[in-house]
Amino acid sequence: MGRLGRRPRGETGTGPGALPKAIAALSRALPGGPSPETFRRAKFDLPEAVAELWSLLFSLLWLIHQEDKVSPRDLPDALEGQIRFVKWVLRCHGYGRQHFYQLPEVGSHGSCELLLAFSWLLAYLSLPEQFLFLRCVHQGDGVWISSCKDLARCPVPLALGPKGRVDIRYIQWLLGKLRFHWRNLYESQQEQCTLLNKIHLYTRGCHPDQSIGHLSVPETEILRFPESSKQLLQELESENSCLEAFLEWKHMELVYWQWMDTVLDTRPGGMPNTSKQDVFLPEILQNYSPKYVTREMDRVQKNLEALRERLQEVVNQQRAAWHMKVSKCSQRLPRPPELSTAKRKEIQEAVGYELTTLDQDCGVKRHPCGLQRLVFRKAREPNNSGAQSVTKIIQLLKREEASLERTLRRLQEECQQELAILAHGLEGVIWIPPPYPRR
Amino acid sequence: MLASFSPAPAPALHIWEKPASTHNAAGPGGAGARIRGRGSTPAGPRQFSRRAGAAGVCVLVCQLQLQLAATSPQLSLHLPPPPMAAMLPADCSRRLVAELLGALEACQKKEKDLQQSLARCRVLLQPWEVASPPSPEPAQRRDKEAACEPTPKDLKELELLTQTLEKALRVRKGIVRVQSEESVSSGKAVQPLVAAQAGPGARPRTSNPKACVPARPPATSQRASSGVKRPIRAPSHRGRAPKDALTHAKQPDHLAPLEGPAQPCPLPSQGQVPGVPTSTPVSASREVGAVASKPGPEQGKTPPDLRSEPFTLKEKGTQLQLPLLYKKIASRNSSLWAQIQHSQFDADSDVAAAKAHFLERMKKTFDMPGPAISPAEVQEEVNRLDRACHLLTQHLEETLAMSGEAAADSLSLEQEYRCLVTLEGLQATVDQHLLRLQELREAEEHWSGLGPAESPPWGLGLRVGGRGSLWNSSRLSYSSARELQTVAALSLRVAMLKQQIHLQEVLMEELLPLLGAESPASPAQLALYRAIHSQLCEAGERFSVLVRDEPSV
Repeated sequence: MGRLGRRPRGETGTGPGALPKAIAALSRALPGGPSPETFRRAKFDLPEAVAELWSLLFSLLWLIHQEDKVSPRDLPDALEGQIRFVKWVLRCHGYGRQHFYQLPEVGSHGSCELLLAFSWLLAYLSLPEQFLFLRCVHQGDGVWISSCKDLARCPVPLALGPKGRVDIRYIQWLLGKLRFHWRNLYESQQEQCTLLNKIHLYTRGCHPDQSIGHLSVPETEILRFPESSKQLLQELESENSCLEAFLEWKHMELVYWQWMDTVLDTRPGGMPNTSKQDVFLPEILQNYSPKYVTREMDRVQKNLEALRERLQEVVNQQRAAWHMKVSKCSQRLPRPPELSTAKRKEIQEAVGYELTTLDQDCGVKRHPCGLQRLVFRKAREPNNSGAQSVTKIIQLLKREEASLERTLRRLQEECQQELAILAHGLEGVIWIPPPYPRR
Repeated sequence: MLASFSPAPAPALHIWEKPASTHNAAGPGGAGARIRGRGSTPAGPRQFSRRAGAAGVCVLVCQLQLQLAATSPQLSLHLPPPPMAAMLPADCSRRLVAELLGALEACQKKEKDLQQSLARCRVLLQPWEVASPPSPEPAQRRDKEAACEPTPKDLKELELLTQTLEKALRVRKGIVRVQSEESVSSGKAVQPLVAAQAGPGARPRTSNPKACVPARPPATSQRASSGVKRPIRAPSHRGRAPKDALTHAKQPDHLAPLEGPAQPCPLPSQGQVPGVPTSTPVSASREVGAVASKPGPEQGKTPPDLRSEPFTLKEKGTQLQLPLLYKKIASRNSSLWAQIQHSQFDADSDVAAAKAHFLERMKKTFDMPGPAISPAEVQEEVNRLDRACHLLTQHLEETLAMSGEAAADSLSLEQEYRCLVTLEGLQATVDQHLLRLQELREAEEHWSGLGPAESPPWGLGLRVGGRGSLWNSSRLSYSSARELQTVAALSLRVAMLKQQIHLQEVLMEELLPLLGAESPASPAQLALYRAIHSQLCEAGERFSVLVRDEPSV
């Protein structure tokens, strides 16, 4: 395939200026993007580009993993720390060029290697798209609905635990405190809903966009506090230019990848000169915590195994019930009412389809819905903005709630049985369970 | 012996109980004391302080002792020395405390965020005042407010909490009003959806005596909104709260810090210092819009008195006009987003092919040892399996509920068969997932075998992002405050249940093995047993009673 074998689309052209233009657009779409000149230098592995590329890689990866951090850690300010961080993150994403990991941590050379790593991240992690989300400015209300879904999966830093033994009453006290916080959360949330609705109600007809129709909190704040709202305007403006740059980049992207092809041509892989050096880079890999993943795996495995066990039991019951039903029917009726093969097949297909959708649902991650704007619309007003209705979400949540409640109740019953057995072993003690039965 | 160790956990909070349910919560003292039932006293359960609740339990415990002693002389009852230690092993302690602190932290963080956005909303709903010559009184108020404004740094959690409670009374009055409007407009009575029900002990104990405001739960206010008269019970020193706190600028002095002045207040999210107001909203909107605007025809709608008199959003909200500059920027913004959403970049086969080609070529140059799947992917896969397990469980529960609801005979053969096929399908899926997990484990072992495993300085949970489709819908429409509250309550409820289930599993893992280990009937072991039973079987809301049955000599 020739270097410019395929033509980029439309107006962007393939002229000599196309590549710098594309890179410039990319730079504007990414925070702290470097100049096209840096990329050119990097292609020829010039040392001048090294520092800039390292800091680009670091700032991108640091921003992307900002939310994943278990505890807020300080930004490593020394170059060495930054380089190590970059290497470590790339390793975790499975970037496998040995040469890259052997680059010195003083940042003296290797700009071409860095360019390769950057481009790999660009394609592999879809960096520009990710940054669109990270930077998204909230003009509407509604971020908060999904914001409390992640309470449960808060990773626990074990360092928080005490050194010695604690009394169980302390645990009980903490649990009680937690319930208190739940309650507080609930109350605040309810109040917030009311207040939001008031603001929406009182400002009906104020929004220039008819399909929205009312102001959001940030918008009302613009009117209330013009001074402080300049910040929002600035943010929006810079988001706009970012979005423009992103669109531009998207239209010219092809040139970049074709160029990267030529970069790769000049640096064939599988360097023979690495001569089986130390590959493990222990100072990088030691930063990687398999403990967390292993713990997660144990937990998931336990859950899955419990589910399997339960299914086994249920399936046996169901099978027995099925056979019984079939034999009962065949006694009553002259002709056994066997399901036809076609009918069976139909059912099997339907169930198979259901389970496949279920499986696909697992793969879909819920996006941070920072972009979902809450829109108030009275019941009989037509919904012409293509907005998703809350009612649907309510239905989904109700299903989920019911299922979770059953799960919790099952766990509690399990404990009840186990403890009842133990209570038999308590000699000379009368055990009076709580006087009122649970619901 | 009555095992009454009064562990005094924070009392049971039945957030989600229906108001009608008379829920009995035996206190930690062990007696089945019906003291937390809703409306158990005319004074309202909320006026109980936690202390008072505890005292009630003690009294009841004593009564119970007397009764028991009277009816069954062979039972010798004596209270153990108050601090009955039931110490947990060190490992168990560490894990449980860490888990619980983690959970608490997550809740507190959410709470803080919520409080901040609440504060923003409240400010907007207060009178919008013009501050031409700032009178001394507002200045004074501002000082007070500055002392208690929830800026993240100088406000500790406790103060925030106190403030919330103090504000609760005032704002709930607002809720009553809006809801009555709502119910009038929608023409149907508003039913309490989830009654927040708390025991008298639910009031937090804070250093501030004002915190004991009889904050009424939403349920109460909703009831009030559907026509039931309910006296406002406020401590006498506060006086009766003004009937319409939102539209009256003048407040009793002690309320001032709560109401906030009608000045521009710092926006908590932006962390700005409260500035002296310089302009009315309208004139300001002109300022901002002045760059590009001639006063449009809409601005003619603005009544002249907006300039001079304070007003509320309720009165004049519909007359507000966004500044032109903002309108321009915002509409550009939404059109850009629309462009991005509607362009099918991935469908551009040339680019996709070029990228894939590049990734493929790069992959050929990879010469590091290691399994094909990267640690980040392993983690992502584990998360996927976790979600899968959750969804499969949900599907199982639903299938069972469906076949369980109908009597066994009424199910048709087809339904019965379908149920069986579904269950078998689920079983097969679970088996697949377990196999997959095994593969992941091998990959993971390989990775961690490559280097010494120390604690990570950055402690990241990695994720592979940007793979999914960008987004589906950008707007979420709701039709009433009630609906919004329902969805919020449900999403919180789901989050809570997940947290609760997770904690239940952790507690089961850690606590159940402790029982039966030591000598079964030692007081410490009994205390442990009772605590564990309450926590694991009753969600910490009720306690059983253990009575030592000593043979009479």
